Amino acid sequence: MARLDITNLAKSFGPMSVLSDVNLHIDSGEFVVFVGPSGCGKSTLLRIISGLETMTSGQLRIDGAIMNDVDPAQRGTAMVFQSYALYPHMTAAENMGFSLKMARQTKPTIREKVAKAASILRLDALLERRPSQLSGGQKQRVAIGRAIVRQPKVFLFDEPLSNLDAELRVRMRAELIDLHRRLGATMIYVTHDQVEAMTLADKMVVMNGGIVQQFGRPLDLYDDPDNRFVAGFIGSPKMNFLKARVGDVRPERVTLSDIAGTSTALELPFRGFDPAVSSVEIGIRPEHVRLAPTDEAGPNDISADVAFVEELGDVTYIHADMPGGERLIVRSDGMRYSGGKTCRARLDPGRFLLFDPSGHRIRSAHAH
Amino acid sequence: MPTRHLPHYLMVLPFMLLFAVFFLYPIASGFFYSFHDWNAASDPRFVGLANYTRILGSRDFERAMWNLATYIVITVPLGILTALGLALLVDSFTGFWSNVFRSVFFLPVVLPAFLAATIWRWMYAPSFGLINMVLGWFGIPSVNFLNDTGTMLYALIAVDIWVSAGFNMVILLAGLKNIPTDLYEAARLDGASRFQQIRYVTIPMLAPVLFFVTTYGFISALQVFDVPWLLTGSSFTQYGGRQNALLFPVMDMMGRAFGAVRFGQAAAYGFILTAIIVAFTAVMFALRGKEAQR
Repeated sequence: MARLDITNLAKSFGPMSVLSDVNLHIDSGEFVVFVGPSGCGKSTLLRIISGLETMTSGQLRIDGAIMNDVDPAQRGTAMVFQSYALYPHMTAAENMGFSLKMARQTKPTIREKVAKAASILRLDALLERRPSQLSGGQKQRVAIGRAIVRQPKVFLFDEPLSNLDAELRVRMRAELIDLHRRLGATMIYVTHDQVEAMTLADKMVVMNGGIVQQFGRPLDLYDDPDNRFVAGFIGSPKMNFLKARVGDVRPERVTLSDIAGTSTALELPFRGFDPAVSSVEIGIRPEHVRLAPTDEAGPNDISADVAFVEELGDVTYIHADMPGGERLIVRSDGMRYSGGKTCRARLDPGRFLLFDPSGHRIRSAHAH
Repeated sequence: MPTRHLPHYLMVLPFMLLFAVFFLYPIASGFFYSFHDWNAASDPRFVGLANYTRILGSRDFERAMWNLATYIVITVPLGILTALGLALLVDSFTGFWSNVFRSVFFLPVVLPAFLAATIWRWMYAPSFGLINMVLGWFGIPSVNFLNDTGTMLYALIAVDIWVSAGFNMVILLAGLKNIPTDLYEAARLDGASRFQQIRYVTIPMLAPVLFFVTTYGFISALQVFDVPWLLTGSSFTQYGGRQNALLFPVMDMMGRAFGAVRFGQAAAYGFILTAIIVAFTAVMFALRGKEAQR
């Protein structure tokens, strides 16, 4: 278990900046997930923590000790690779005990530590097999076992489940949660899969373009994103974004008009809206848009052309095109879609998140 | 033979004909002559196994095999180690310098053997050779590398390693490029030093390529002929250098055929050499199969 502090970290490859101004504080025993699209710098950040990559500037501390120039093997970190990176010519036991062999530990000690890790991961029967004789899930467990025997302060996982099939991925996710609970270790996990991130993380770091977009608890990021990127990245299906013009601005309310190219105008409670902002994007999650009965028009309803419908049994998603060109996803739990080329969607203004044209969140000022 | 397969057989026929005329027939006739005394002018005379026993009992054969064994024991491991060293060196560079080194080290491979031998005869020359010149700077007296029985074999080994290292390097380099980098990263995190990474990752991962290079090296070494022939300025009647210090089996075979005009003996020599090469390769494959099963 270890605390990890990253201060003003930046990384460039030649003239290309891949990480800038990264500041993170990870507490002992936390399970932190770095998530973001491909090329956002999350794996580079993990590799910098492991010591496989150097930082251009900034500072990394583990339990208060500066790690910038410390050898990867001496940092107290252990990494599980996306490709497993198991030595193909060694058995599972030899793979797991390799770091101990390099540390010149005695054979009985190595055997004992490997056996202990194997029992945690239920690998006892597979120890004499070579990687080619193991399934994907078993290989992944051996890779985790290799990390466990080192008794690291920080576990680093680089997209460890992405080579597994969907069913096995779900099972391994549960095993990782269980492992974290049992070991109580600090774990940092990289994935591009936001569902994986949401299910595993105590805290999430959402990254894009080498910049940390937001760091916090998964549901905080889901409910209260700092910007349009985080709002759009977290959640499946994605959040709806509807363009709107700002109409009447009052101290406690704001009126939005021309929503998604319709003539609909809605007034919503908002304290301290900046009158200089003339247009916004409304972010609203599919579960906060309801399918309205066709015979009963409400003031918060907008009409849309149905593009296609996803019927998943317990839930139905209606994908509809708005006159402004936006795609609106409506989640319907109780009511099954009865067909028809248009639908009436009922918006909940209380759930609106507003973003300015540069994608920053516009928050309502707190009451004094 | 069903008629529908006829076009298939017709398509392989040209190759099979050429193969039969230029490969199977010479082997069969060679096998026939190996049991005959024949000088190409008179009719072959059947002598049974006499050609084989004469060769196996000859002093030249013994000398040639002894030279060959010494040559193989030194050249093959040293050649592979040199090639591996060069491959690791080239692999550590990227882009321009990697290409430069690769081309420079590969250059001797594309040189014709006579050119390589000529270059080295100049280098080894006692009076004006580069090597003796450098030795002279350190006060070491001139050495007649190609006429001193104590140095001749080693002089040949140096040339052969220089000639073959580039070829082996390219093959080993291809093998090195196929080793996933994350294995090295995992080893680094496991605390392996650079040397331990080579010992525990590179060498085992290169095993199939090393096996190929070793087998090929052995087979080439068993057939060594052109470089020692050229270095010693041999002819069909005068070969093997001073006191036969550079006499090798293929050279001995050539001499018996075109120098002594004993084609039956030369044919028998060819079959003895082939048997040695086949036996050796079989042992190598058996060892490799055992290793692969582990």
